Amino acid sequence: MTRYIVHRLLVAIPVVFGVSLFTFGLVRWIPGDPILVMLGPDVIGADVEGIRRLYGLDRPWPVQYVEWLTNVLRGDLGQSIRTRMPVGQSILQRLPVTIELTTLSLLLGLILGIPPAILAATHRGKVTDAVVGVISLLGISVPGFWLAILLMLLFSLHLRLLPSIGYVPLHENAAGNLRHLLLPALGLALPLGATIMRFMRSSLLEVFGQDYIRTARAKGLTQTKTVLKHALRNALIPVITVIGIQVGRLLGGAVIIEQIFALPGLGRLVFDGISTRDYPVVQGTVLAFTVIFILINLLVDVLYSVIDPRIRLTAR
Amino acid sequence: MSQMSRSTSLRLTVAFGLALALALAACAAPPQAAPSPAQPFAEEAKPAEATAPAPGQPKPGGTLRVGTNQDAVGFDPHLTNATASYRILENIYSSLLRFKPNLEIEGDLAESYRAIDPTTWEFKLRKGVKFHSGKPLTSADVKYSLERIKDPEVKSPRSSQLAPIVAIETPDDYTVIIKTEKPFAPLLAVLADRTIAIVNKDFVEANGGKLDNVADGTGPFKLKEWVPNTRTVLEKNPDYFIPGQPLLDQVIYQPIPDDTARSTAVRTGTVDFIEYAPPKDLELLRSDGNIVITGEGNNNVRFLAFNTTVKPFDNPKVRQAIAWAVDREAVLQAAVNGAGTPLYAGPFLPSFWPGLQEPVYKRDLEKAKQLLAEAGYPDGFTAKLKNTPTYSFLGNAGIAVQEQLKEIGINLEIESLEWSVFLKDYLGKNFEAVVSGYSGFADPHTPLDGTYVTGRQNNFMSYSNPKFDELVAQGAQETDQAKRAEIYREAQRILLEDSPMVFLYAANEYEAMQSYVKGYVHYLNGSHVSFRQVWLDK
Repeated sequence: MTRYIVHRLLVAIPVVFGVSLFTFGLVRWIPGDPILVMLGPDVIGADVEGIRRLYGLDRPWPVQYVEWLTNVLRGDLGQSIRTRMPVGQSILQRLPVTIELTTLSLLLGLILGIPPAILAATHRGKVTDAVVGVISLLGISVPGFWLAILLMLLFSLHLRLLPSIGYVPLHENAAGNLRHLLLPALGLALPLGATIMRFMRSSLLEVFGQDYIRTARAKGLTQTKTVLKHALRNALIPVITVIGIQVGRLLGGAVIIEQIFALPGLGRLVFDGISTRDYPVVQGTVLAFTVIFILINLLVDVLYSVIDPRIRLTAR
Repeated sequence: MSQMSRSTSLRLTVAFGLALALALAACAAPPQAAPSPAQPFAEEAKPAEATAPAPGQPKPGGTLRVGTNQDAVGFDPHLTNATASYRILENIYSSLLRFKPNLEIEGDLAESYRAIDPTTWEFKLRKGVKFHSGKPLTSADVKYSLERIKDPEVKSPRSSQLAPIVAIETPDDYTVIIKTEKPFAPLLAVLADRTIAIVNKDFVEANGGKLDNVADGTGPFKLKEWVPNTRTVLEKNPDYFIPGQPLLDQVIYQPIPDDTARSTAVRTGTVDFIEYAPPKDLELLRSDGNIVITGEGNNNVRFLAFNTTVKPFDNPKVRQAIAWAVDREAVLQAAVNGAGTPLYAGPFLPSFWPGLQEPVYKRDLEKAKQLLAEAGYPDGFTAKLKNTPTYSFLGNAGIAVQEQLKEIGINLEIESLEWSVFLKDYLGKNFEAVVSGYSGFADPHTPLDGTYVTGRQNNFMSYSNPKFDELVAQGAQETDQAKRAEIYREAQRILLEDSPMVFLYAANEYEAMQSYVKGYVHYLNGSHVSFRQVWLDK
């Protein structure tokens, strides 16, 4: 297992390198100018070229990239053009928010997805199944950010139950932290839950057709025991694959959700970075996203072997 | 440390209060009753009259929670050019002079000031002013601050504004003499700008010249904490030089970029005050009995500008025709739901001092068609218009103009560009026609000189009229304000005649606050300096 993990991490290095090169080129290739955005249209007579030189943006791209990469290998992600803050520090400050948000969304997604899927699968073709089907279709079709705004209007404005914006760190106030994260997390969790629901249902139905389930039933096990003890665990395997992929979507969705709910997470950092062409911020944040995504996929593969002992992890 | 526990307990109190209020509401209302958005929740929970304090009496204490449109982008007052930064900085630092809400000038750190001769000004500093660190303010700090802005190494975007200053002398600790090469009438307005902040020489040097996230000013509040994109906390400066100010203990700024989220935040009381109350939500906010809205006017200009070097916009008659054809009222409506002032007579609000009172361009399609025919385009023409959807007040204005010009046969093809792309094309003169705007001026010289004088960096229209240039230069040297105003009125008439741009409207900027926020005054330049006199009536 250890060998496998080490192997996977080694393979990830060229991936990270490739992504960094791609991001570096892409963010410079799209039109727009960080210095002009920083100064805005109101400034009269500023030394635009001088400021550009100050940030080393006047040099050729390859030179800029090599310098950036060398600094990154030394652990220095550079400095934001707009705020002059170290990028590494900004990422570390915001990482917890995004991790909390996506973790909570994932948990909510599982809670919203799995029980209805079991209900639908065990009542296949009945009204319950149809209702669950319609709800999950809605959940997949409706954009999460729109749902989130509706939730904000309902729970914050009309019911006054939850705060509409902002963030309290977990270590300062756990209850406040949860209250601030609940609505944005729901916005991400509803589409995720709907997706999990659909996969879980069909996966369960497939497992129900297997011999060992028939055996279990023949032994006289109750429906509940059959489902929970034998079917669920096996049905989860394909669902975990889906969740692994969905985490990428969660991270992407966090970019929009964090913007709407004014959450100080990584998504908002990258959003602001892109809209102001703050090159070092975009490069650093995308790098962080890449590493997180690779680690999560590794975790998912390790989880496979824990859930299903038939799967052996081997380094090819 | 104490801050942390205080805010925790505050939040617990709020949470507990909400829970209690919820319970009360649940008891009071039958379960099937729908919550009424018009009836604010806090109203139900507290008994209305029993504990009301004497109204109108300012009382000290409390925290003002402010929802901002954007987070600050660093705290060096001489380097940042972001409104989001200097709206905070202006409460931390003072300048030599300052503006009143209507943009008249008064002393700030300068107790008095006078012109010794047309190129020499003397400023007497207030005595007993201390920086937040405790160091007394002296003329050396003023000299150091102005020279720091002028220093080409520092790369201050404001350096060009101080360029006319040739010498700064400090005969004693409380006197500053500023000399300009030629008479320079806008000097006082430049010095009153909040970005010309006076910093502590020793403090800046101790910090290696960097003020990115540390501050030592003489303003009403001290910078306590900046957590980027989360909050900026200011705390009361007990030694502020105006007695009795500030009243608040703390101001907490919280960036809420989304318009709906920001207006929801003030309606729910998550924050006490928001800037940039979105025009689309004004009705909603007004209908809420707990919300007060301020904001009548703002010194800004939204315009349709032409590249005067390309056909057919090189012909003044074409530009005049368009000026006659545009329905400014309708543009204002489309852009900001009518929340502003149509600009019929030049780039200044009629209430701003050199503004022309008489409307020049009221919509007249016949006149427009006639001018087009005289210019050789009786059937109109097709041209490209660049605008940006990033700011709806520019994007929608462009669409409205496009519709209106169809009526005289001009077909504008809109190219919609994201802000950072748009900005590059527009400042780089890579356009035929463009809808954009500028703001943030307090003296008419700044926009007239910077935008319309031949060869200036921001003269993206490549406009040139020697007579206009001469008048602007003359205005800068005229120290009699009444004569100055007449010169600028003449300059505006030339600008309207030549129409390198069609002035569309000046947008109002609104702030919305909970009704217990008292003492706030709206400034014509969008300044939030009145936080120093704000108090909470609760």
